[in-house]
Amino acid sequence: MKLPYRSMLLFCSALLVITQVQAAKYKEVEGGVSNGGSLSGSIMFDGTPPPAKELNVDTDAEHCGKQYSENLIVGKSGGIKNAVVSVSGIASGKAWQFPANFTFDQHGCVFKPHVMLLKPKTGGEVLNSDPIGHNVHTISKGIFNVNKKMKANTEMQVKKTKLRKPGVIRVKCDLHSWMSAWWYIAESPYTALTDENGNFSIGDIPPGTYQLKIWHEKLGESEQTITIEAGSEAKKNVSLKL
Amino acid sequence: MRQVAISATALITSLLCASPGIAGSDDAKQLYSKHCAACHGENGDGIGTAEKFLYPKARDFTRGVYKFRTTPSGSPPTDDDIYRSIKYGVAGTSMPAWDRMTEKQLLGLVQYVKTFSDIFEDEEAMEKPVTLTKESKNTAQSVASGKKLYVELECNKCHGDEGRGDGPSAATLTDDWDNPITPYDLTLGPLLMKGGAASADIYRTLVTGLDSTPMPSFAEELNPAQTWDVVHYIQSMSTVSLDAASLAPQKTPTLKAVKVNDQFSLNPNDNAWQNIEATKIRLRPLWAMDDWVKEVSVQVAQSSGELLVRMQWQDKTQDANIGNTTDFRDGVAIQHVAAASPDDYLGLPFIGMGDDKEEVTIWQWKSDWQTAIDKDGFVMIKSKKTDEKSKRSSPVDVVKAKGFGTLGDIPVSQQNVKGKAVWKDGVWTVVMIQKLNSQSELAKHKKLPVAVAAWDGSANNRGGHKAVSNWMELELN
Repeated sequence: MKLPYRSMLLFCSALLVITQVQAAKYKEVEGGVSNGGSLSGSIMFDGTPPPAKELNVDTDAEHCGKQYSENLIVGKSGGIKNAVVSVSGIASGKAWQFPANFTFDQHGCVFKPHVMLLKPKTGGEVLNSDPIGHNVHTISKGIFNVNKKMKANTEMQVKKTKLRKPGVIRVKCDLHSWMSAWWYIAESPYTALTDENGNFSIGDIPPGTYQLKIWHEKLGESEQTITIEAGSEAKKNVSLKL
Repeated sequence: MRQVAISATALITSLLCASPGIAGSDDAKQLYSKHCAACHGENGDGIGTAEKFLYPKARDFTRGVYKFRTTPSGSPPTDDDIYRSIKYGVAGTSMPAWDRMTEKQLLGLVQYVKTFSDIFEDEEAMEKPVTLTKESKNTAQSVASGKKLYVELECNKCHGDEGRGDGPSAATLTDDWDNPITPYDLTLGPLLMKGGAASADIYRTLVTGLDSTPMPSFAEELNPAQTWDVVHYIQSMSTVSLDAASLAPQKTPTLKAVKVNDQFSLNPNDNAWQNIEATKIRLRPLWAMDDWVKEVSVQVAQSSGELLVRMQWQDKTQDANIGNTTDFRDGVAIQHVAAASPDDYLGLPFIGMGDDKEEVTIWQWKSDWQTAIDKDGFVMIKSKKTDEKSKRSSPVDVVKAKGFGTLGDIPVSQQNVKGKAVWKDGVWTVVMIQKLNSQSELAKHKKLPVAVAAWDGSANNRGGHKAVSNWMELELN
């Protein structure tokens, strides 16, 4: 190996790192947002919700039992659970009030929770509380792609540097093909996860006109234009179809 | 003073980093476009023009996730890891070995490939390589312990109780792009393991996993002694016995035409061939097929007036009578470029039948043509372009191409390669001979780039479902 050449390469790529990293990162404004508005609403299902699909439990059926898909959960009111709603394009504003770390479990051959909303650089622990083995396999576009085998009743840590930037991470278990979950890493704290009735609320939004982005694992992504006025409460209900 | 030092550093930096061959340089970009983009895509997204011909699919570099690493699962690879994959290729896949490229070209490509994902700019995402411990003794006890662990860790769920890749979860496996993926059949032995065949490679694969595939890392589950036990058990399942030398990555060979005085007959088993050195060439499948021709042994001889090539390979069945559309023939082809130097990778066309700038010449032999000639003394060969048939006395057809799907015939009057093949005891032996006269492209050159492809009909190989070599150098006299 030609050492001088190699060290030159290292030197040059190190310079690249210094100049290119840290682009477009959300900044918390000291003292918060003074004259912000708020937004609340519901993400509703348009039509008759399909019944939860029974999944093919082809391995470890004696332990895992019957399994049903969680990829579309519609509450009694017609609201959609686990949709991520975000007011996009806000580069600075209120402080993140997101959990400092997460716990993600494998229990009864189900990932819990099914959708996690996190801020970038959140660390946490992954548990396997089942008496059988699983593997945690994450799939993302250049964020964090890990695949670790976990024995029964074990845990492992995910370093906070791993969830390194905003985006969507899909989680699966290759041993149990029906197991599925999502880690959504928010761009800014102006992001919310809908509850079992499809409700969300986002506060302290700097006044302005924005794109409201909605992400749902099954129903895809969509956008709405919203206007937030100083000190007022805006409402927005959105209906999504299959 | 300090300012001077800083601007001097900046000046040196800009000079050094602007020199050719470094991080995303023009050379690396051109090399990538020429030899990598057809499979990996011009934008590194794994969607090139050859994408539909390949399985497993070429790496999508934009995701920043790599199978073959020395780093823990969930971490990007080191430069050396990417370098190794480019230099030695990936066994059992269409990724060829680029060991004939210069060190500078290889290092330039490593940096270029990294530009497709920003994960390489994030120092915090990078982790140190895992520690490879010293191999423990491969004893019966170690194998027995490995066997126990194999079940405890549920390796059998995918790789199967007997290691045949047929465990209960095998059928449902997909990679990160949702392409179906099959667990490795461990009985095939280590030679086709994509992560490498040596004991240390298998150890590393167990520790790091193959990110973006269902093969997880067992770093948390196995201590070093146990990991070696599993390695030994995996090796014990192999039905192929191999020595340590054959487990190391092979260098791409150079073919040398041996000068001969004797006249060779067309008989592939002519005794004169016994004195000619044979070069073994490993082939890689473009498509994950039931089976393929894994190695072709090539001999080249040159008399005053002729160039002779003999190719031999193992094939259990002679697929020479093509009765049904579901039957496929055996075949072999050798491709060369008269107008290029084997050392100039910027002038050399793409391995997949050339490109729009450089034309390749292909000598192709098919088993059913041989059958016809042996029986009738001639064969009718159909033109790829016009569908018209022409009467030939040679089972070797010379065609030209400028990229895949562009096979073009040359007139019968210009067909200048004769040949003959025999199949005996599970071995095909094919001889191709060209007269080195004014019509011959080879007569004008001292060295030129060549590559070999082969088809095993009974394993359903046909068309693009073939096994190929990378570009090699052929030295002539």
